[in-house]
Amino acid sequence: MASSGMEQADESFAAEQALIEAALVGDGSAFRRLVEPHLPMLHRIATRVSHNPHLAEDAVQEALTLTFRRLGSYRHDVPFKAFLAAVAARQAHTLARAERRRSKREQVAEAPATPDNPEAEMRGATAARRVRQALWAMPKKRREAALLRLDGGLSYREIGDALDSSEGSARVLVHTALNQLRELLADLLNDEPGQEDSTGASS
Amino acid sequence: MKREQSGKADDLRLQALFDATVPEPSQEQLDRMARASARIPEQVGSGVMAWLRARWRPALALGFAGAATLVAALWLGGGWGLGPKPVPPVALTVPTADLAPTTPPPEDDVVLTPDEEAMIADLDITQDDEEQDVVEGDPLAGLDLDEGMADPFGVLDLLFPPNDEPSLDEWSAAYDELLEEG
Repeated sequence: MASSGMEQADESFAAEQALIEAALVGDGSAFRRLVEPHLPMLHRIATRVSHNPHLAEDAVQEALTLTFRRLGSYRHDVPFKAFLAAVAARQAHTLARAERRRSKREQVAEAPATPDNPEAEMRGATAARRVRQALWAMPKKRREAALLRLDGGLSYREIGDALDSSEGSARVLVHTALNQLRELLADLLNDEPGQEDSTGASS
Repeated sequence: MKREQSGKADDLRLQALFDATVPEPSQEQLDRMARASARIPEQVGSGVMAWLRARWRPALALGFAGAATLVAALWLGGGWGLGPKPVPPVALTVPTADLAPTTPPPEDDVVLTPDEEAMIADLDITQDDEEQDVVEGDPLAGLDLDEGMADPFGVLDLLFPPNDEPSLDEWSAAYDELLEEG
């Protein structure tokens, strides 16, 4: 049973390598098949950072373009998901800086929005902003670990690969990041006890 | 145990908060992003270019090393007018005509004129081993002198008389006598 699982993993890995080779010689459909399973993860990270669903799509496109440009330096011993997430997490830093500059401009120029459900919208927006602020209050590597764990759903090993560190280091990094987030977001966490049943990231 | 469960519950709440504050993309959005991803290789360029972009530093270093090797090879080889003019080895400066093989004169092919042959015959130089032995045993025999030619004044007879030793006085007197007569 275990060997069957390993065989499936090997086949999946081999298929992924074939798609990478095809994409490297300019096969667009191969690149699409390679990245399509990971688009929700990329979109989540991009939305978290940009806090704008419209900008998130552009951010995903930029992350994919960057990924393709770096595909030649892809290390075949690292899962492609980790490679992709690493690009997205690092790009998040750039995105966040651009977003902060954009927000400052729009606070002056943009007219206030009129949401359908003002109270819920307000609560959601406030929580999202608080989460983003908490993330950016952390050191860069710790923030990347938190993003990859909570928005990317990566395992400790995949986070280690993405951050170019060991699985043990990734575990410690994630643990420290979650502790800090719990402290920073304590009031929000205590306000939302009803969402305990949501599924967490696989380890 | 209780603390561990509490930690897990906190983790779940944190995950729930993260999930709630980021909307999941719609299927339409996912399709749009997937279609756009298929165009990226065409827009960015070939994979070879991507490979070069990723490895431009080693590729550049390799290029420089290759160029330097080529220039060095051309310099040493004197190609494209580079490098010092080639100086041929000394041996090559000798005119080719001088290098033509000369046939050594055959040692046995000395051609003598008839006069030379006659003169040599007159010398009557003995070359045979037996004759040489005779010469070695009797220094005067090799001279092959005539009786008349050998001692025209009988000096030798005076000097070396067959039976008795000539005295110096006798020899001196005889010599003076000869001088007076001559």
